[in-house]
Amino acid sequence: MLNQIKKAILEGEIDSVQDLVKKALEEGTDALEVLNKACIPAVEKAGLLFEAGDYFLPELIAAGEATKTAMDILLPEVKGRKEKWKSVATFLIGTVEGDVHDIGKTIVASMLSASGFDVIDLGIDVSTEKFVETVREMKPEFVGLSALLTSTMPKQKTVIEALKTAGLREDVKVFVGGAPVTESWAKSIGADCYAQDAVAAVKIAKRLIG
Amino acid sequence: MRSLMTVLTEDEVIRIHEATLHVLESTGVRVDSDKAIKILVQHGAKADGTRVRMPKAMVEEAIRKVQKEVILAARDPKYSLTLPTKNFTYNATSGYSPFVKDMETGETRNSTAADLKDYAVLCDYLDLVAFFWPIAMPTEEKSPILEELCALDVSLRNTRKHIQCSCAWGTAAEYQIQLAAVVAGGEEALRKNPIFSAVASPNTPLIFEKDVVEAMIILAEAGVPVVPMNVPLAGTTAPVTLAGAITLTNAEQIATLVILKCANPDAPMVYSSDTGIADLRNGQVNYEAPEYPLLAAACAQMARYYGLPSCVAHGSSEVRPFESSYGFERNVLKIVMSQMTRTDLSAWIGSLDNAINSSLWDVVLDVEALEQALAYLRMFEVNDDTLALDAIAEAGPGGHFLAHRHTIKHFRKELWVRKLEDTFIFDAADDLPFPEKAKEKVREILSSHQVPMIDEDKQKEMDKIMEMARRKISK
Repeated sequence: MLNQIKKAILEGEIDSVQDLVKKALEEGTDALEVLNKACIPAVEKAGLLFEAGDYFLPELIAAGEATKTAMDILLPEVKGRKEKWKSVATFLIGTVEGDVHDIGKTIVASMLSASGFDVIDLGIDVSTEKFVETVREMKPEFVGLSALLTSTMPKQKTVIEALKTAGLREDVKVFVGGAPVTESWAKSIGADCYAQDAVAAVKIAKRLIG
Repeated sequence: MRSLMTVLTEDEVIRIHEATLHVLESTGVRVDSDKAIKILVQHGAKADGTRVRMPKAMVEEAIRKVQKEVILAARDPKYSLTLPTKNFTYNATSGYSPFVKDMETGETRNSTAADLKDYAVLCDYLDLVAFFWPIAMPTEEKSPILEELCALDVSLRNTRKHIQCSCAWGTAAEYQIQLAAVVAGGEEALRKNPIFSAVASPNTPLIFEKDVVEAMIILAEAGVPVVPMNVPLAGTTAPVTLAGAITLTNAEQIATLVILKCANPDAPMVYSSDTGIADLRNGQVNYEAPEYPLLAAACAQMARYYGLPSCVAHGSSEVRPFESSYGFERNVLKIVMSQMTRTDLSAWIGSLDNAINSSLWDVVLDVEALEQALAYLRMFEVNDDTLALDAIAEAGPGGHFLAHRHTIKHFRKELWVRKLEDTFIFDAADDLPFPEKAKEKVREILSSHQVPMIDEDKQKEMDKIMEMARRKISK
């Protein structure tokens, strides 16, 4: 059964993942065992396949989404137990105010999710206040600010400044990204990291948490 | 006789058209503007919140209103273009990038109005740049609306050619129309001779943002040609299948046509798309992908099906610098393939880094490559004289044509007598790298070429409009 779940995750078959996980729990398999012996190895395998060039983004993201489906069923089961499930880290992400471009940010979010991060995706056209509030409330380790337009890039700086004012800047590592964003722009606005693409974002974030 | 690349059969063109009608009628588009929704509903669209569905009859009505000709006029009428083109594609610079590579340091930095002026003067000089996209934005302006406005202002003053600027805000459209009307001699003169056209684009998939769609309506009402260059990427924002990506592209183009024709039945439009594919290893745009020219060819076919002029194909490769003649020739062939789609317009010259960067010397190198590409894009006549029956009979089996009068009469016109080496970048006299040679040429042109000025009175009026805009606009 665990192997079947693993296989279904790797194939991105959300419906069968859902059925199989439910069935496993009904049959008395421990939720933590499903997590540790099916979900996590599947995600890791997908990552390896991607790095080796055998998997492409659509497959990796589908595997990530299938894992999330499994976790949604499993996490409530393990809540409150001594041996806890812990995600790699929490990553808050969104496209800055005035910018409605979605896809780049979504790819990064899915990749992070597929790599074991707990991702909070605030969506597009996210106000500076919303970023700050959510950082205060959810205490993520990382904040990712996406901008596709050169006219909205300055908002990345605004958010970083607002985090400083709110006294939250030291608590998070700030990533900036988007087609016109460059390493030197990231430096000039005081961001911690610049990632050229989703793959780089995951690598850098993983390196930072050791 | 000419080279033409098509990828769709006639039946496939019709299937994509029918699929488009289905998308617009059943899925519809999202329109984030009450003003636009109101106009569309008046003309038969069905609105459910911001979702607007366009019945088949309404779409067909808009297609019936497509004009036979679109004029892209110019400040100096000798540079005015009439579309569709009869012979070659008209080429322009790539556009609206926020960065330039500095002539002196070679470093990438934010672009300014002064850079844009240099580009405009350079392109005024270069014959093969048929019209001008403000290639670098004046990023020192305080708002994106002012950037768009200033880009038109600087371009109008520094090139005599047609300007195709970007316009993503209603306010920008209003001021741009005012500015151009001053130069054209009033709003009616501008309607008759639109000396600028505007790229105002849907946001793929199927979204018309409020500011953009309101700009489209204002431009349509003023008779300024709208160029809705959308950028569907197969695999991320568009279906991964090429047929699906073309259908989505076409649906957005035709939805724009419907909006424009509802605003003004005589509104001119250029079918325009940068449809491509996403690199499914990292999610980024992959301009080097072989699917680009195929998608462009298909889009050009769809445009021709509707009788719309098109601006759909890329030009050269952005892989730089050319370290060898091989790299240069590869670029020549990329341009050839792209222009074999017979797109009417193509905006690509000088583009770097997925169109967010540019340089003056890359403009010169691209124009030089285009010059060579034209060798492959010539048209040949087939008539009694060129069929050469007399010459064949006279030479007979085993004879030759070398000194035949038919050869002497035709060879200079019929054969490409220029050598590939006949370009400054292959000058054997020195071994400077190509970019350095191109930079020298840029300096030479910028120090000697004088663009005739706009009348002083008109310039003063333009100054006033710019001053007012800078005072009023802070967004």
